[in-house]
Amino acid sequence: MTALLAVSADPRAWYERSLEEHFGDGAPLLAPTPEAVDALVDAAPYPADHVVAVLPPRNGVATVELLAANAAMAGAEPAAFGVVVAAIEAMSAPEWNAFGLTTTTSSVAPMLIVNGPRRAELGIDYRAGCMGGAAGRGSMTIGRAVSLALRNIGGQRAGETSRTVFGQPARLGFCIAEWEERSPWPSLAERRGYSASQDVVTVHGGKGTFPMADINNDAARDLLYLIAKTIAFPLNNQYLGGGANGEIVVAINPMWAERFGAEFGDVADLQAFLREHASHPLDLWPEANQEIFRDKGRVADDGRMYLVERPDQIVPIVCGGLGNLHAVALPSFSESQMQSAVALGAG
Amino acid sequence: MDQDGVTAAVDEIAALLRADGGDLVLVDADPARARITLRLELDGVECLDCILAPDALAETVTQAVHRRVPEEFELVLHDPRRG
Amino acid sequence: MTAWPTITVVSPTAPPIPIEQAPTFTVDRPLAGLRAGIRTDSAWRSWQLIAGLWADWLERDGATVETVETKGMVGDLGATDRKHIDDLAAVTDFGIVGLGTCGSCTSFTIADAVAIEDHDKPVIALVTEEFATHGRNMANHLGHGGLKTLVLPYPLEARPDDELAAIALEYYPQALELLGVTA
Repeated sequence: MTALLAVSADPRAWYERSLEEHFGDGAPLLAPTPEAVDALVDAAPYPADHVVAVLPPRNGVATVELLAANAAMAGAEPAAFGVVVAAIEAMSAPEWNAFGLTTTTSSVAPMLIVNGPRRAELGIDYRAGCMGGAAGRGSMTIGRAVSLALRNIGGQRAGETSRTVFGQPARLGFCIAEWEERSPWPSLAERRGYSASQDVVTVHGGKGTFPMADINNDAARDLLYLIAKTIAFPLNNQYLGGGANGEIVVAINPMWAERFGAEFGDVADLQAFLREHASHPLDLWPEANQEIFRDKGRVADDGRMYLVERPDQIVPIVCGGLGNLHAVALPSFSESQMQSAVALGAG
Repeated sequence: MDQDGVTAAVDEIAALLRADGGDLVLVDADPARARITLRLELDGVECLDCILAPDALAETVTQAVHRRVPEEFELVLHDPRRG
Repeated sequence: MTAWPTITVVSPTAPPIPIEQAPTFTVDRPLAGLRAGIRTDSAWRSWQLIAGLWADWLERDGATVETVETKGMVGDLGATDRKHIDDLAAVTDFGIVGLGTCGSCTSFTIADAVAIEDHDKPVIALVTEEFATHGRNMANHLGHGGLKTLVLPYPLEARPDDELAAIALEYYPQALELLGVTA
């Protein structure tokens, strides 16, 4: 049984305590009353004492109950708790590299991308303002619950256990969904082997939101060419490693998705196109960098620096509003591979 | 998406078009895709110049819907004058 | 002034993990005839240069040297790297593992050093000054609070080769001392 605390019912007192004791993220929190926690636990697919994960860097044991306490603080509703649990499960996969991501100097944070029939019902944003501003309850609380869990169970704290230089806003929580009905391709979850009837959360180790805008290009290939060149920016983290690990998510607005879908009916072809053009000639970089890249075997036979080794490392998703004109990339920490898990309901 | 609101907005503009022998038909209002599809019928119109130009008509319909449906939507208006 | 009652809430923080410190080991003999294992990282040329010089001097001083260069944390590269570390630990008498000069690379430097120490071998982990505390924290979290770390100057990577060579020369005796190599 998780420890109980006696606190003032004054909501501001709980917030002040969170600041003093550093279990908060700086924003106001709800008090995790036993009733709120029990309601979340009751909605979980596992019992309260079930260990969902051991979270680095301090190897804290994330039981369902402890996760529920953090989800209650974030204001997550019971129906959404299964997504929180699934996200933690996904992040605990060794290939997600929580060990590295929770301690890195990089800005990386877990970025949750949800697919499935309950997205709208859970208030997970996928339309206008989905990455900030739409204010859906699911989007604002699920991601935050995960981040609070990393802080309070895993012990990830900037400047202490986490060496992140800048952090990023997503460290407060980031949870969006795909606008599946507007996508000309199978959803991210379906492409990763899940069925459309499952609620799936995919956790991407992302470094932030990298915006792109265009008003000039009508031809889909021209626009995609520019997107590819943009995401391959010279100081992309991907160039620091070998190029085989990590993904970059490219969030495409529905209007562009329609155009791109008409050109690339198979998303794999779109990914191949982007991968081919997400490259620059080696001489874009200063001489000293060129030598380093050569020494590391990073330069392709054609003398170019490719952002990633394989097309599947560029991951298109469809979301955002109908205002057209924009795409957003979620660059990666590179030494992490996105992981997915099914969000289950009460067991 | 408020389906009654969409219907009311379409009826408002359709009434104006019927005065000139035309009509505006709601084909589909799809909240999942945030897409409203309409069809302009001009078979009974004697004075085509009396009907708002395609862009102006689309804008008028959009504003009428927006007064009742605050969220974003895509309006697809099949206008026979556009071919 | 509102008089607020006292309520009960569930603590959101995980209890402290009891830390069991694994044993550490020292060489306790001269270098002659020993096999040294050096782990470098494809990311840090500075450490590759220093490690290269140390490898030369270790051989000069009677040891043979096996080296592993890690390239990844996850995927096929990561799996291969971790296996190479395990293999290195099995065939060598002591390890020198670097370089921790960023957050995640420090974590993995410590993790790889721990992997060698788990084979009951003497090992030192190289971290730069900025990441020294982080390195010690990670060693604690992994249950190896006694893991020996050698702290190099920071920043290191952008230094010219002659400076790196001077640092190699300065810190080589310290590395041997930390490992418990005797004369």
